Amino acid sequence: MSEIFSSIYEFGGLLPLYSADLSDHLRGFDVSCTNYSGSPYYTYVGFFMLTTCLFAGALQYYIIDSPRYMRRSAWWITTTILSVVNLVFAFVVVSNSLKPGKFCENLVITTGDVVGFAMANAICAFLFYLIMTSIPVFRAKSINCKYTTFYKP
Amino acid sequence: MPRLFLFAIGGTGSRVLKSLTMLLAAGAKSRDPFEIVPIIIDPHKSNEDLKRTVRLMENYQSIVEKVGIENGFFTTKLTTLNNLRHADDTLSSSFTLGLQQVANKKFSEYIAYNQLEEENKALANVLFSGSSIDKHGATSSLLDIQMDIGFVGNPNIGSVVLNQFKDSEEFKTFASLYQQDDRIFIISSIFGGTGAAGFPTILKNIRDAVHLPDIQSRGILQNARIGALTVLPYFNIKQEKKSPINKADFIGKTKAALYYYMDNVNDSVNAMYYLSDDYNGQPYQNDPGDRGQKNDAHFIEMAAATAIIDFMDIPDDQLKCHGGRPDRPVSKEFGVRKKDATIRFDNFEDETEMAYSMPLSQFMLFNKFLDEEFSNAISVQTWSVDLPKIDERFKEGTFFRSNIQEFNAMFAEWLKEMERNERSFAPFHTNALLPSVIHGKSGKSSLFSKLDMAHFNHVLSRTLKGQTYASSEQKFIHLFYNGTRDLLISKFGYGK
Repeated sequence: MSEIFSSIYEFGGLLPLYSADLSDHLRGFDVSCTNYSGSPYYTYVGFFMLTTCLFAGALQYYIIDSPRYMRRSAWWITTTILSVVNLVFAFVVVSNSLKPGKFCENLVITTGDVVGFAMANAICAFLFYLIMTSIPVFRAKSINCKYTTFYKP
Repeated sequence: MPRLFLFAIGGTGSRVLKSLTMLLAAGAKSRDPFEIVPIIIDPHKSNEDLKRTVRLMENYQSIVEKVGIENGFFTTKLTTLNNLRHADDTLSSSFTLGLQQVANKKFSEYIAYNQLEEENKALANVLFSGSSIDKHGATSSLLDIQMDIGFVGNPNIGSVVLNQFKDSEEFKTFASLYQQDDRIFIISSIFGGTGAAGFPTILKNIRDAVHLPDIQSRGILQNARIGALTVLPYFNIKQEKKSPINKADFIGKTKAALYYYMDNVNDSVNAMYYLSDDYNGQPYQNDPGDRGQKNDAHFIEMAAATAIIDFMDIPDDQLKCHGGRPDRPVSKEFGVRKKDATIRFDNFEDETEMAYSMPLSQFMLFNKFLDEEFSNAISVQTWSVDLPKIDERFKEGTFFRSNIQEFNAMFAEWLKEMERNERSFAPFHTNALLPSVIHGKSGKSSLFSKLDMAHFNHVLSRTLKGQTYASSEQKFIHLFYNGTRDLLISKFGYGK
């Protein structure tokens, strides 16, 4: 699962916003620097991202589902909040995992790497929400937001 | 489907017909469906009330032609005699009966007074000996009166002129189309000229049709189910010396006519409806007809329209006739619970409130939405975007722009006129926010469901779920009928 999320967060290796060392740490490289038996942060953060996207979708399209919040502006507000939540979550979780003695000391990880990963998580949340809400089937049962996407109405 | 041939005589006839059209548009209807064939009889063709009514019914007809009668609003078919007979000659395609030889003619010319023998001239002089005031304000003998603005309170003239009814193409067409299950209803006022004269004349011609040659259904017509509504004085009118219309004459004329009806009319009609109002409100302009005669709509006219629906609801077995006489003639009146200066829904008796409060409120809400929210909602809200679309193209189309908008503007005007008239009928605060729009029934909001136009949109989109429609027009009417009904039940406590 970590491999899948790593390729997502590194955009298939094309645009990593953080170092390979942080990527190893997120895959679960252990404190003794021998194998990947540590905490799989990619999976934690990835599942959080997916869960929050699904929750935001359910909230906007099925729980609130109001004519007041069915314009694209509401979609952009939802997505912005979603991205910020994911950015903060990724930053806090990864920062806490980098306390001395809790990760492999051979890895060189800077605050810039952590911010880069947090941004990657926010971007992924944004993209996932965009793709998810662009699929008509996902919106089909909504009463008022059936046609709400990032560009309409 | 059986038909109701509806004869509306004079200015009051047209105004009652207008109210009936509004009620039918709002979804009020008889228990068993009838196709209504209005026939307006009024020599005063430039009467503004008549023109407004005809325009309204033409719009109604266009809407029904487009969407059918299964959509909640506009559920009763209105048609013309011309439409029924599928022929292309002489009949007017409109709802009015063409009275011949009336325009720009004096009464003496109409009866060819100068060609009468001396004995008949003497008789005519006796029968039409009074005087009246012509449209220029000058005193004129009855024989010299111009008839293009009606009979200005002279039923003795009206009864002669309207007797041509039996020779008209419209009467012959009506008589040939009339079938066993059909019904007839005649609307008139008793205190003027045209209605007071026209009602007994038309009734007599129908019951006596058995003696007329060339009429296919004459046997059926003799025993036709006939209802009639006669409106007694119900409005005040300004006193003007140079006008032939005088409020003081109303009661005298009414009494004289009632005596005549007692002996000659009541026992020929299956159901006779009498309506009046003695409330002395703000007087109408004294307009004998030459200024167009455009009176504000009045509550009594709406109450009168309910009589027509009541008549359609009477079971067939209570409307039997033998030898041109009803077995069980009945007379009916309309009553309210409290005679307040302003009538609202809670002034109605329960049965009337149940029948008319919901449809009128629904149509008012429909109207309010179109005025305040429609432009914002189209091409945005789900109910608009779902197929078939209700979009800008729909909004710019003839159906919406000409038929619906014009009809709804007339509905709003009708409500406004009844509100400012005295006695007033004001069940709505049309300019208020949605929760306060119906007098005496406040709409309920909750923490998660505020009653506003956004909620109205929500209800419309919710109503749409699972429905399929043949056209945008049909969807539009059906959706707003069901949506407004849902809103009234869920938020205003209707139907509890």
